Amino acid sequence: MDNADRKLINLLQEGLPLERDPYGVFAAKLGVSREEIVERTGALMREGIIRRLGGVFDSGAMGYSSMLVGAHVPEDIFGDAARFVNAHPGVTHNYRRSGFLNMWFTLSTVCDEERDAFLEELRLRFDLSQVFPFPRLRSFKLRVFFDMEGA
Amino acid sequence: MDELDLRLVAELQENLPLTVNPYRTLAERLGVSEETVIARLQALHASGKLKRIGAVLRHQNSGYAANVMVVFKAPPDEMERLGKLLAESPLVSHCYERAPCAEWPYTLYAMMHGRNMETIEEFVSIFALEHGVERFDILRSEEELKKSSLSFF
Repeated sequence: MDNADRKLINLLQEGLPLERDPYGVFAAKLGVSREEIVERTGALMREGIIRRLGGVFDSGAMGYSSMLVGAHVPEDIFGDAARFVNAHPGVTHNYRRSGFLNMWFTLSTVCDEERDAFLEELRLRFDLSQVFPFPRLRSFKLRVFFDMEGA
Repeated sequence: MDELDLRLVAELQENLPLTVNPYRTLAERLGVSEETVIARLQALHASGKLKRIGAVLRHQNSGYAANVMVVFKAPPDEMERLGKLLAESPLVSHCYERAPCAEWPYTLYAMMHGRNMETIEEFVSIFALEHGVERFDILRSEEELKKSSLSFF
């Protein structure tokens, strides 16, 4: 990853211009050709630095509500419970974390009933008594941007 | 949203075509003009449905080795001030107030990303000390079990 890559990653994170010739705008900023931008982007994806280049949607505006759920899952059933949770198409993130609540996932559903039913099934199927939804009351920040040029 | 919007959203949920003119390639796939695709993209953006077309990084591979969720038990009358302060830190990507429950007293959540764990631990302990937050926890992500984009429709 060289300097031009870092600058390109920052531009790609901010987003492509929604206008004709989006890479022409980047090309002018970076001083490289459009073809080189496409080549570098492809390489960054193959290297696994860029996970995805595509549309980033507001799930709320699209009619979904998302919920953060924390659960305490015993080690002997952790893998099975993770597979069950991950199989739900509305689960977009799931992490094993340090601490008492060791599984944290986000669940997006079109209605509260669907969410409640899924969490209840999770509790019953794996005999979990500690599965807690943590509704968002206020947003202070939502900006996923990893500065490649800083520090 | 009509049929064309739905097809466009479905395309955008995949990777953008790696071509010099990605919107033109999308237009060809959808059988419409490039102008139409751009007009639809702008409309989806204006309505707030499409935040952007851009890159999502695999931050572990981008030099951000430490990725944690930090939770604080913030006093209700301090919530606003502490939330805004946390939001100002470049280490913080998401910051929310969330409802607590009996088993989990924390109310202020921050997703933090740094080049190493020490940077984050130092920030969090100084923040807690300076603002008199007695209970907090740093939850390290020990394993990514799933990370995907939501599929609509």
